[in-house]
Amino acid sequence: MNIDQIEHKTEIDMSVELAGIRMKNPILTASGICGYGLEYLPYLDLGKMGAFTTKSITLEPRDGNPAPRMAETRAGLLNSIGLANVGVDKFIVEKLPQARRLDIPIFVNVAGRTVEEYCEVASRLDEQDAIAGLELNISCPNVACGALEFGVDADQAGMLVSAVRKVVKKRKLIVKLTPNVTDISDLARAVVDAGADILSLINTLRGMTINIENRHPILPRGVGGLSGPAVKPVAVYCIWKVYNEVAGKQNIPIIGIGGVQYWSDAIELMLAGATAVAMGTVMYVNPQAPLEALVGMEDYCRRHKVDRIADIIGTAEPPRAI
Amino acid sequence: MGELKIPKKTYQATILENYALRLPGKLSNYLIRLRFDEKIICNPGQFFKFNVEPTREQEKPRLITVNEENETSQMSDSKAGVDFAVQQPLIARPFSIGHAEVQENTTILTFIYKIFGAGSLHISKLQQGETIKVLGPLGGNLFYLPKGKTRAIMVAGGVGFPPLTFLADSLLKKSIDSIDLFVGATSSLGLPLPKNLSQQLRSNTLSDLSPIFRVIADPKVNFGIATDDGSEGHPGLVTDLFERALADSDPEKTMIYTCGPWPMMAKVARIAGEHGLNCQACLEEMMGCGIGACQSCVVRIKSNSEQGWNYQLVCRDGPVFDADDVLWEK
Ligand SMILES: Cc1cc2nc3c(=O)[nH]c(=O)nc-3n(C[C@H](O)[C@H](O)[C@H](O)COP(=O)(O)OP(=O)(O)OC[C@H]3O[C@@H](n4cnc5c(N)ncnc54)[C@H](O)[C@@H]3O)c2cc1C
Ligand SMILES: Cc1cc2nc3c(=O)[nH]c(=O)nc-3n(C[C@H](O)[C@H](O)[C@H](O)COP(=O)(O)O)c2cc1C
Ligand code: FES
Repeated sequence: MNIDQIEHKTEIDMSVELAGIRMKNPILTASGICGYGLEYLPYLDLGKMGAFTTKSITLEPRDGNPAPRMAETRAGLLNSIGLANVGVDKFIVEKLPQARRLDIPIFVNVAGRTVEEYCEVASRLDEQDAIAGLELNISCPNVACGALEFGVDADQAGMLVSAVRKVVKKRKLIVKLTPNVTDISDLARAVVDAGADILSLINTLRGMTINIENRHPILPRGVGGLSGPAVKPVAVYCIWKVYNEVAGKQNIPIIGIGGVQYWSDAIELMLAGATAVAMGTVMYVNPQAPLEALVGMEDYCRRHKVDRIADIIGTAEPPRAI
Repeated sequence: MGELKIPKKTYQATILENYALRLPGKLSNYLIRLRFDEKIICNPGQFFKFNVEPTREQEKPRLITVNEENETSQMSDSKAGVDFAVQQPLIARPFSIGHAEVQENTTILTFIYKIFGAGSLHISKLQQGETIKVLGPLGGNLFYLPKGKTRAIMVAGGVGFPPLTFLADSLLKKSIDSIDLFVGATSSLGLPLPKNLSQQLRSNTLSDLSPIFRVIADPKVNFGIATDDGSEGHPGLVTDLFERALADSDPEKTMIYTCGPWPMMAKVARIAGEHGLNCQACLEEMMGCGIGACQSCVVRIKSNSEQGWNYQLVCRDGPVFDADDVLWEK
């Protein structure tokens, strides 16, 4: 299929609305996958996507972890990048003006070590008109005294989000959750009560892989974050659970993330309750996967006689045994 | 999209040939030639990422099993043991360009790849006439010949050979007095060369030789092979050949290029340094995106920072680096 020849003229309304942010279609890039925006332009017309999410931005620039930072596992990818990024100042001056040219909503992912750090970065970014929303990464497995601690405790997460909410006045606030918790709905409830406008789930799952010949863990820190097709069922379950127990009732939209490779995966996440769907690891498999997925999603709508793709959100039937 | 220009870098290339250079099977080297229906300017050091997703017919993932001879056969899922299951490859795999025939409306590129795991195994199964999705040419900093240099010595380990033959070919088209091209492997089976290379060279039947190997026969090229087990060429390390060639080298005029396993390149860099010779090394690291976005492919490059080095990206800041700048201790 040559994606350039596919005309996107269609009678189906592919647009969705995320807490007032209009996306021309439900597909966006997951954080950390496509850098700051322009890197992918030669390979994918990002302007055709519904939105774009940047790599996590921290207060100071970060070098990240030693190599190797990635290891492929069966149907998955373990990464240990360690939030390598240019820091918020350089991001605002050098990267944001370029990303803005994409002419689609831009979500900037924010990470930090302390509540103060999150607030500092968030308040600086709140001033930037080019940004549609801030996505708080409270769930990264790859830094030592890191963000994950906030993400696994409902009280801590609620406290962090309330503090950030106070400084984020103009932008929408998205909170990205980890599946590495006992009950993800507890976390979702806590951050929604603290003022989150949108939920993103899931971040990567903690995992490890060992070279059986020399017995060393392959990633230098041992642990890494698992992503890719292997995690999709976890994502579907988390989205379905949070949609039904928390978000659906309160009208909080969900950005579904995790293992989306083909159009059918994106549809599945939307049926589970996602309003938009972010694609991550698959970009390293096939950079045009998002545009190919959109074609398949339209086709699905046509086959199912759906005029607006937004109509399928959360329409999965209840499990038979409930 | 306004003023943004979008160069297209994803291609559906047609496979012209794809075969094992010596014996088929694990750890052996394959040659693949791809035809593109447009002009693609390529330079030595650049690489492509090969999509290794299952092709349409194989869309339903199946387990692939590998038996002792590494001939693959497919078994039903219930019979296949997890122990010898090979995973479905996922992330696109990077391979260096080994030769380029560029015309107005077509480009033919040759690659040599070694069967390491699931990804290269998948590529080796592709048949002539089939297509493969590739991304490239990638790479930011490439090989070049500094002013005043008239002699090149190239030291390759295994599949570090393709980018260096490509470089040799392009230097011969410009102006160079002589090239020493050395390639090493643990044994003759691991050499990225055709089986009957020496016969073809002797009988001068170059037209039978895939274009990637033709530089070997150029009168300006001094070609050398080394194998650790002595099964072909010099018995010993490829760096022995390199050190020997240095005996009559003029540091002003000589340029060193290397690509291969890290310890080999580190040794070449050290020897070059001891002789006061400039050296460029083509590095490899685990890649995700291949285009500078994911921050996966880091190497430590000397800098005047506090710690004395900074991470740079192999895909964007390399893959070629000045050997003096690389922190070789791992
Ligand atoms: C810039 C560059 C140029 C290369 N050029 C060549 C070449 O010309 N010929 C050749 O045979 N090989 C080349 N390689 C190495 C080649 O990419 C790996 O051998 C290949 O990816 C292995 O995949 P696999 O599925 O067969 O093996 P796996 O079992 O999946 O991996 C085997 C080994 O290959 C490495 N590897 C796997 N995936 C990647 C990846 N995405 N990026 C980098 N390394 C990976 C891993 O570190 C691992 O140790 C190059 C690598 C880079 C980074
Ligand atoms: C290489 C890599 C880097 C990532 N970096 C970040 C990051 O900086 N911040 C973040 O919130 N999530 C990050 N993620 C997680 C992804 O955004 C996403 O949640 C996860 O990969 C699951 O989606 P996928 O299966 O489609 O990849 C990263 C994932 C990968 C593979
Ligand atoms: S492979 Fe992604 S930055 Fe180099």
